[in-house]
Amino acid sequence: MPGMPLTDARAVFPALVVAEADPAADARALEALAEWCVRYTPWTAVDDWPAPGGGAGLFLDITGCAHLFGGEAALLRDLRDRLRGFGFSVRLGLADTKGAAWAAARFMAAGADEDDDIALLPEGSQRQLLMGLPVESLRLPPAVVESLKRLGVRRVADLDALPRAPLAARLGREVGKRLDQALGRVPEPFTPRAAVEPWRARIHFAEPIARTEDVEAATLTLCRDHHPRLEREGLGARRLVLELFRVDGTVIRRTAGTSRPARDPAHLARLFKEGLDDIDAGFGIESMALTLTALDPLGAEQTGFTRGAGTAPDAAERAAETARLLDRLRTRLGEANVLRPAPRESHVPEAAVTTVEAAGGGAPEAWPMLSPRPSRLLPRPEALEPVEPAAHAGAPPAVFRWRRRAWRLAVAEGPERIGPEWWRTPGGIPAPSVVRDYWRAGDEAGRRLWLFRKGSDWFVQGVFP
Amino acid sequence: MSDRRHLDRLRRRIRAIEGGAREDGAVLALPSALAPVAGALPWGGLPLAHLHQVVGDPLDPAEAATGPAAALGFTALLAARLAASKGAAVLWCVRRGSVDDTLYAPGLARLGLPPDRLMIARAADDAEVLWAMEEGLRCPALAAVIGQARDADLTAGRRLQLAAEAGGVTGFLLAAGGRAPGGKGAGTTSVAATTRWRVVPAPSAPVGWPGIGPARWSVTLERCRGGLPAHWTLEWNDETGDLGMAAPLRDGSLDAPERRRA
Repeated sequence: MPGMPLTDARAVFPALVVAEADPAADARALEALAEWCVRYTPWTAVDDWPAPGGGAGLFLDITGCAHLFGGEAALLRDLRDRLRGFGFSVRLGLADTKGAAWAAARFMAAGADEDDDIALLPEGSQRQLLMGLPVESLRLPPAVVESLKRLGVRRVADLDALPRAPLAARLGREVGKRLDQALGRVPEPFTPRAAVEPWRARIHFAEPIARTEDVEAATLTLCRDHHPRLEREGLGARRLVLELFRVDGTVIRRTAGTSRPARDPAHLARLFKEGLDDIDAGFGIESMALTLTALDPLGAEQTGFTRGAGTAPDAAERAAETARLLDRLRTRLGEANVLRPAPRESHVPEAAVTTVEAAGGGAPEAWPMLSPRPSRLLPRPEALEPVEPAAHAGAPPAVFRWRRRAWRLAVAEGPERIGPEWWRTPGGIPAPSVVRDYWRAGDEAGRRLWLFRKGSDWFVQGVFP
Repeated sequence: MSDRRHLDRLRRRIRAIEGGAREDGAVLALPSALAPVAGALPWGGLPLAHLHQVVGDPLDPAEAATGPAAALGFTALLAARLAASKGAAVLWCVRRGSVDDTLYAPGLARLGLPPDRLMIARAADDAEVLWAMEEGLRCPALAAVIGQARDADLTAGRRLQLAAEAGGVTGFLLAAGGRAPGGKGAGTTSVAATTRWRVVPAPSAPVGWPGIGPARWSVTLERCRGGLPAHWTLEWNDETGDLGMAAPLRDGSLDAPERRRA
């Protein structure tokens, strides 16, 4: 019950769960809900009138939209069921005016049982239905309601019967205005939420274009169209979708991404350059659109202030330049094929390298300097075929075949024992058969390989320079 | 005396006409341990913003199995030195799924390319490797670009050279592992690079203990614009990361003529 002190409530129901009010979060949730309601009508707004007894409200102007949902009653039922599904308790009112709908939702939809929480005022009937409601239903300030009650005015009908001039002189113009608004005598403006302007630029051609150069020029124009707004809002594009609408109705889509937010039109246009070489324009392209699907904040940057050819670029400039290069490489080669290696804490050679997105945040730290490591590591160790055993037990075979060639070792150094990481494997301490003994071995010509023995088998894993 | 000055000036002019290179272009100074190498280069060091070609021995079956190993080490060391002097990164372009696409970063870090100085681009084919190299060479924020493409020809070399001049980035066209589809060995074609090096492994000097010792490379400067071919045996100490001249073996075998293939 609204207004009840917490101690009283606890006395009635000791197991009460208490939650602090968080008006900011409530407001955000309501805003999000208003945005969700755009599925019914583009005109939605948050009710900013302080509701009696808590509870928040939304206004939806469904003029011209109800038939899409099978009529007003069906729309209301659909809306109620979905909102209930979200876990809200809902009361809905529908009327010819905003004020009447507000009153209907708050004072006529009781919410007791099925379909009781919907009050649908048929067209033209709101006058007689409103007359029976209390004066609170007119969205009047509490002080005004109090004064009216002291005067014996309890129902809307009582208020409507009073002469206007003395009423306005005594209680202000608000009372008459609200009454007229509820009854539809004066219009009440409806201020919908500001729609989020999509990040989309379009260009239409008087004559269809087909040449790659023209498409590239149009792409640059589209990038330029986005630039002022990006700059104003301090944002940079991360993902872009370019759509080319062909005369025959098909759409060609090209996507591009940037490794860090960018808004330089020339750079953004260059991202599409590679993808536009092979487009099939058919009978021509009649319009193009560029949509930015992901954006990130980007501070103001100074452009066009060309430095002299001789001066060295500073670190920030260099980072920006590198990022632009990586964007171009990534657009053509694919995201996964432009990498920067980074160390990983593991002493298993294959697992010691991970790759980070090149030009990602901070520079990765260096590897711990272990014993020598090869400059090439085979993705999978390859078994070798011993031909002649080693002079000493445990050393790699003196002659062996690998990759269809005989290798005659002259020198070998080792072993460096590398075991599996038992703390990562669930089985505990591993069997000796999975421990690897690594050897650096060189043949007579000075070629150097990285070999290891596992059990009694020998493998090649790397190549030293 | 004045004749000699005159001759020098003429030589410089010819070099400028031939190479299109800047007369007083920037040069990567080589460490003092490599003074003989620096002396053989007419610039006194490795000229920046040029294309250099480094090949191995493409006819060696071992190299077909492992990819060029010594050439890779030599190139990585030069690129790392460039990266350190410029404080910038190196872009390494390889063909996806090839023997070259097995770069192991901890090993490259030993050659002087730590993770923050190395970016790897994996291209679908040779044409894309050359494209990625060109993009990289035009980006002044990089120190060097290393690329491994099999069928680079004169046109590709010229394009790369122009890109290197435009961006001020030094390019290395490193021999690629495997054979080109045409059947020609990788790295046998001339790309008209400013310098062309052939780097193959050399037998290392015996160490006093049963160990492997520092790696030795047989380095041949095969082609050098405005300079003469030369040959050295270099030694790379992977403990210290230093590259220096190899001390001659006691039996003088170092000076024996290299096995050469036409």
